[in-house]
Amino acid sequence: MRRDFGRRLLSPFGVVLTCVYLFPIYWMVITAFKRPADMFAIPPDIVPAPPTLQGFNHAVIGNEAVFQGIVNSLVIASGSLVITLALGAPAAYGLARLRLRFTGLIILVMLAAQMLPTINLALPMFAIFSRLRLVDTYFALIVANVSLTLPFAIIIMRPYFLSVPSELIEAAMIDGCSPFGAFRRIVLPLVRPGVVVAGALTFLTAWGEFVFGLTLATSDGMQPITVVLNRFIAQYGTRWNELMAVSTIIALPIVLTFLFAQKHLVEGLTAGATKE
Amino acid sequence: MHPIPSRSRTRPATVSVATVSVAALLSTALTACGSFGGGSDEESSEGDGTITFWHYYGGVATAPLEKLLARYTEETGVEVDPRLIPFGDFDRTILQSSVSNDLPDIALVNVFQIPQFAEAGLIQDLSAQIEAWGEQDQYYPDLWATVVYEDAPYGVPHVADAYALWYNTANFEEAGLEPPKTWDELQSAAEKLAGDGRFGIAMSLVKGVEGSTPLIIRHLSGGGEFADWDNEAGRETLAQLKALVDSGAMSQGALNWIEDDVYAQFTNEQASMIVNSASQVSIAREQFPELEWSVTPLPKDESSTTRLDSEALTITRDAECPEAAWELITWMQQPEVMNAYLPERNKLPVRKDVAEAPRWSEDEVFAAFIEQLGSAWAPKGDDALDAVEILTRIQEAGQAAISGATTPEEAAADLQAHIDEIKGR
Amino acid sequence: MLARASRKLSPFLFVLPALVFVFLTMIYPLVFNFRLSLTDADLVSFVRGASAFIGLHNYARLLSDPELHNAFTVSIAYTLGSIALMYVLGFGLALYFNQRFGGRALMRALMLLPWVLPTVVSANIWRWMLDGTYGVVNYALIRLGLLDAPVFWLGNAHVALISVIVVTAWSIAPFAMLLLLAGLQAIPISLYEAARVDGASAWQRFRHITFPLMRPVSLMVLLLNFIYTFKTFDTIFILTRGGPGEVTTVLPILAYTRAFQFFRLAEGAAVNTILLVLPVVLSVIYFRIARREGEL
Repeated sequence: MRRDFGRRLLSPFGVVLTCVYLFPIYWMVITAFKRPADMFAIPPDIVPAPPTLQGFNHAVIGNEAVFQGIVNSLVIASGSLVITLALGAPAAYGLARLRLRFTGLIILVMLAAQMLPTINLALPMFAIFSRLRLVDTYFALIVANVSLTLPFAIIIMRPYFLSVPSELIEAAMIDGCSPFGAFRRIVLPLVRPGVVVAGALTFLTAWGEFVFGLTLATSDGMQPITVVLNRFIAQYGTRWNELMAVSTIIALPIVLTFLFAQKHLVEGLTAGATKE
Repeated sequence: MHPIPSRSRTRPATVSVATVSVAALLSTALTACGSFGGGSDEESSEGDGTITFWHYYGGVATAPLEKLLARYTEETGVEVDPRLIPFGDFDRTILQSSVSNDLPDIALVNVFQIPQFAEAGLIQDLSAQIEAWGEQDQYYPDLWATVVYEDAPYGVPHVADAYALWYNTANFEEAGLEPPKTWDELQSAAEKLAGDGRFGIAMSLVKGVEGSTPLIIRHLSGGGEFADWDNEAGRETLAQLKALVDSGAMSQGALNWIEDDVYAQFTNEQASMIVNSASQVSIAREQFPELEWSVTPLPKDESSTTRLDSEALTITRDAECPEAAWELITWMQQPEVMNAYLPERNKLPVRKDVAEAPRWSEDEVFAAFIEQLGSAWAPKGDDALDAVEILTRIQEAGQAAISGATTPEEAAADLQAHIDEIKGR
Repeated sequence: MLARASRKLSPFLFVLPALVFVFLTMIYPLVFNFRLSLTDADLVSFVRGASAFIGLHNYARLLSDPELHNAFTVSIAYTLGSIALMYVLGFGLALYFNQRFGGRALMRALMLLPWVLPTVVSANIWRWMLDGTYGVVNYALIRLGLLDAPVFWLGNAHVALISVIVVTAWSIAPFAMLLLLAGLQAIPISLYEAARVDGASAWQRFRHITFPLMRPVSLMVLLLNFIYTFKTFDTIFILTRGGPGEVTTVLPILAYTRAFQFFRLAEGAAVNTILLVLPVVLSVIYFRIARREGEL
């Protein structure tokens, strides 16, 4: 009896929880719709009265940089996604099969560079690419992003590969499959959830990445949206409504993509048992 | 060219400089203005004479500059390619690009950086051009001094900004007060005007160079010197600012406010006085027409001082079109061009002939700012090389004293220790 | 024979491309950084290529610099605080979402939004919300009676670090929730049934079944997030710039200030190297533990 009552409370509790936890996002959106003077109202307005598109107009509409920035971010994030998975999935598989003493060492080495703040990697990165005459290209930006996402992707995918029984792979190879064939046809489908998760993390990281974008994209036309946003932030100081308008525009594609893909994402994580 | 010579770490400096010069020479030879696609780097493939122009004017400041440059193209047919790099990333980007010899033709830099860039050979000595041009005397002397390093000019000042005291005339009238002329008067006025959740004065004391402005202003006006703080002037500066907060005349939020926050405090009538620059005057008038306010020069105890902020046009080491760049620079300095640009850009003139226009002399607010320009301070010479670090430490001292972490005396002593260490290096 | 050799070799071949890639792109920056830290490079000497080699001098100076000690302490406090809060929130949310109830899928998805948002965006939102004069957080807390007067969450030295920790934990808890939830769902229900039959209470079931079985996942979540959080720069810089005073100046901010504001490039590089020590040590410990438990 008591358990039923508790159970019935779970949903409403969830609604309250979600509303409270996501309040900052709500605040961002409504601040974008406030007039400059209204933003500084004490006490603050919970709902903009009256709502206005002023922030958007000033900061965003008629600003092709924003559109181009989103396109660039899409290209970079997608490219990073493809290359990270292409390199990372086999690597995670190999490390899962290898089970040697220095598997940990390899992972450690891969992680080592991740431990530095990106901004300190920027200068040497720039030096490399400028010497290769590749500054201001999608290639450079994608390579830089993959260097960030690859190690984490491998670490996330490896446990999923670990949980694939060796017998299956042996059986496939006895049947005449090459090792790569076995990987592609037998193992990959089984670890799809893990790959989806790693892919989502990669895409998100590349989308939100800012320092490499600023360093390696020297022309306006190449800059990802986070860099475009930063240009506004730097000067908008306390023009919060415009700042929030731009932030909303940045967040929108990512939120939409995410909501669209979330079913697979969450399924992926919760269906695959973690085997650590 | 390797940024860090690999085997040659112990190579004497002369040889390294030679390597750099050769590399620079080679790259200039390969990418001369007018050579078609002869550029070896991406950036310099504009071999058709396009002038590359880097600046950090973001937000509402971008459009006026781009309009100005477009006007030049219209009048002369020479293309200009502006690139905006946010202020916080500007110096780092210059550093990066110097590694690949990709510096632009013109860089619009903050005058604080001129000594370092000049010392590093990143910007060119303009003595010859300036002497031939002969308009040097039109510039306010203090301003001109900021672009000079080791007796040679490395840039041409373009726009300036200075700080003054904005005050709410309605509140002053109500309280029966006159704009303060000394710092003690300012303190007592601020105390009287505080109350009811409002404050008498607001300043930007945020961490970093920005928040050092009120401190250096107070220090200099009390007779102090830039790098000398362990004395009565230094201690008094810190003590008085602390007193402003302790007495409730100023909010402790000042320690976290940037100049935009301070401006917002004033326009929302949370503070009756602010130490602020000229760049928001037009915006304030436009967005807050009912606000009754004016500007008065900063209080003067021993000397009348304000802090100068200025950008100067420089021609960089890697410029492919230095002559064309110089043409653009001199064009931008003409009084008629300046007077069309400055109102949109919301900055102050750097030349006396520009300042003669009615807009400046007949407007009470701007007249006050121009007056302050006459006694504006900016770090010069050796001081300028370490200015960023020293000013950062000055803000830290203010932070420590005001928050009560240390006493003003201790903070002044600590600050002096830091300054000595910096200068001793 | 060749087939058998290739079979033995093949795991290496699978790993090789990724390894080469990482080596090429990451080793150079690490080496560059370390070599730079052994010189006296500042803006002028760096540009001119005239920096002198001074060995470990920068490290010696830094190790006796109170600002470094402070930054190190703040980094540890910030990171441990953030991941502790993240863990509690994440675990709680995971336990909650492990139950079945209406709207669970949608709410779970929405809860991931804070993690999805770029840090540049979330840090600015919070900076606005935590504003001392106009921020909505003060307003809410005062209305709820939890606060008497507005607090400068980012300007007051006593609470600034806590504010920064809360913002960080808010962003990363959803990701922790996701990974922990996956771990929870891997625990066979039969174990709980058996325990219930034996009369164990909910708390006992948690303590003796859930928590121990979640250890591997928990360790992974904590380690990954430690590494990720320890190097945080953007969020803190946007919120407080490392202030007030040095209260939120973590090692990455110190490195940035030295390298790119004061242009003491070599010193900044040395701070970076010092910054690496702790994450590396922790990773080694983690791998030892994981290997011992037969997970590697």
